[in-house]
Amino acid sequence: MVHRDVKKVVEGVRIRQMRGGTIVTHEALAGLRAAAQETKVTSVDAFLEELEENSRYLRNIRAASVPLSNGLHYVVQEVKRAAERGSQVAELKKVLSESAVAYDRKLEESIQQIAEIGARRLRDGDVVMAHSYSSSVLAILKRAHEQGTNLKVFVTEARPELEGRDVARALAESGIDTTLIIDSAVSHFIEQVDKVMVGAEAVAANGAIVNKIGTATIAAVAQRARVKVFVAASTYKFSPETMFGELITIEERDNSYVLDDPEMKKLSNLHVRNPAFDVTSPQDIDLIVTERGVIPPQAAIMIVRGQSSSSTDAEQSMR
Amino acid sequence: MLPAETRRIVEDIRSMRIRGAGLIARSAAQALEITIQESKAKSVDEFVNETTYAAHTLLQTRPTAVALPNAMRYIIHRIDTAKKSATSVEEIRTIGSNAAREFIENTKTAIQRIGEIGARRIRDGDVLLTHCNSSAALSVMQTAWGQGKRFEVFATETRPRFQGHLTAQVLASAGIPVTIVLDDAVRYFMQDVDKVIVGADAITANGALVNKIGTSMIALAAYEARVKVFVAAESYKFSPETMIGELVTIEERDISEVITDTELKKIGPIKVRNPSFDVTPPAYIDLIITERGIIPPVAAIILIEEVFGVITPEELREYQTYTLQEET
Repeated sequence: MVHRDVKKVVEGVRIRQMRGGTIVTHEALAGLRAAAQETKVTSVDAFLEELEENSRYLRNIRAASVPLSNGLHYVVQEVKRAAERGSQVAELKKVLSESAVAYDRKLEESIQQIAEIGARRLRDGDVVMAHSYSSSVLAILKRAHEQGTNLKVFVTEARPELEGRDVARALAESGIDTTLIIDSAVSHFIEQVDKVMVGAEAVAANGAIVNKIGTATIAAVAQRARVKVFVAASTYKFSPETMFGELITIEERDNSYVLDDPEMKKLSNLHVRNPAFDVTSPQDIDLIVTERGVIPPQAAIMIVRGQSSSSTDAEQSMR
Repeated sequence: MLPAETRRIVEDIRSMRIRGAGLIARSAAQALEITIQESKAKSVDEFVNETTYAAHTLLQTRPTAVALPNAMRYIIHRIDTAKKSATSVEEIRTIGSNAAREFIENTKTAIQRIGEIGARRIRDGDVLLTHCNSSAALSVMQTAWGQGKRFEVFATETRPRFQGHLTAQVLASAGIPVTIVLDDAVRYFMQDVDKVIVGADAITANGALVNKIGTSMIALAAYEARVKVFVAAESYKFSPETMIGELVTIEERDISEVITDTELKKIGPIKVRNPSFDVTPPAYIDLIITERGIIPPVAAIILIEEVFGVITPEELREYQTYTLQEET
């Protein structure tokens, strides 16, 4: 049985699809903790089984989100290790809660570090273009603004969920000069832009990024116009699995986000497709701002290798 | 003094009782033709002055449509060319009148002819992608389908006004399988596409395309994926004034198309910008399908010279230039 708190998290995220991967991870981990605290099971096996089930359920909120799957994976592994050491359910609950909080805190800290590093890349008078909701990009822009760097930001509305409006609101609240445009107008305004800044759902071993649909086009347009493309992504977003040939799954979301016209739906020859993310190739990315520093996309492999040898069992599972 | 019927048409165009690029151009050509027919000029020079005056009056009616100045230029160009050799008013009257009728006839049949010519470029099994709502592009697809060719179409929704929904509806009603996608999803699906086909709001002398916002990104995505880009455009969409350096000014439309006042208030003090068109460089365009045949974009200048003659900077000052506006 999937716990109601877990379901509530999934529902909440589904209603507000627009939130960035960091927030989704934060909420998923909170859901996992709440479910574990309230569980009625008493045996270690049942507890682990329930944890795995909840974790799988939460992972499906956003299959492409690496911090989400890494975070869930981390917590599950920590709890399993404790169980192997002979811990009982009460102790496992504690381990679960602590490891979830620890992962969440690291993620949050990484964003603060990214803000610090990314802000150094912005100059007074820069015009930035941002696409979709990214906690890291927002943190960079706010930090730079606080440091007295004058910025002008173009924000795409980001169809179909229009989370660009949330970005615009956050920027406007900070007092940053913000202009909202439709996604199609990127090419028209790109000549006025100095830097494009986007977040990432995932960074693959070759330095390609998976991000909100439309990112790939914006990056390609920017490269043509000799505008720099920065990706803000903590190392938690790097995907070790892609090193072993695994492809990142891109979900297609409900068509009603795109077309909700009952008249149109009656036309039998008419279909709608709604992929949520696309893949931006490393050639179209100038650099990735991580909490450990700025790297060219080609160096993603170094981060991925570091992760897979130290922590995850991705290699083993692939063998 | 212009004939009463000409004055009535001038008034109808000005008050927007006559709408749509093609219809405005045809009506203006017709108004000029009436002036030509009813001219009581005693000499060739007097005739030329009269018709030029009428053309200028018509030009003032609507400074926003590319087709209207082109209609006037088409006719006046032929009168000007004939005036040196013409020996009588009757002779030049016939030339002017024929030019006007020719222009009207051409614009009436242009969409159909573009359909016939463009359809030859569509193959069985093709996957096409179109943006916005263009009657010329639709004509190509409908004609090909009518000839029994079987293909499918991706139609972008085309923010902010969703003209893509109309395109999808027209195609689906004709039995053509069509999939609506986000404007942002074009690159995602481009690998599956064989040909992009779009219309034109204007084409400049260097073969650049001014069309619905988003077109240039689609063309870039196609170019990078080695997918062909076709532009379906009537010859009156070509812009002769760009030959002498004039820029096509792009209109920004009301921001309420992008966001409602209520939503905007919730966000706070931000700006919203809503340009209607963007410019696609000729490098991303494979060919332009006109009613006069298929041309590569670099040949735009040849077509302009052929149809509208060479325009001089002096003439430009007389021929009012326009801000390109979306037809509503």
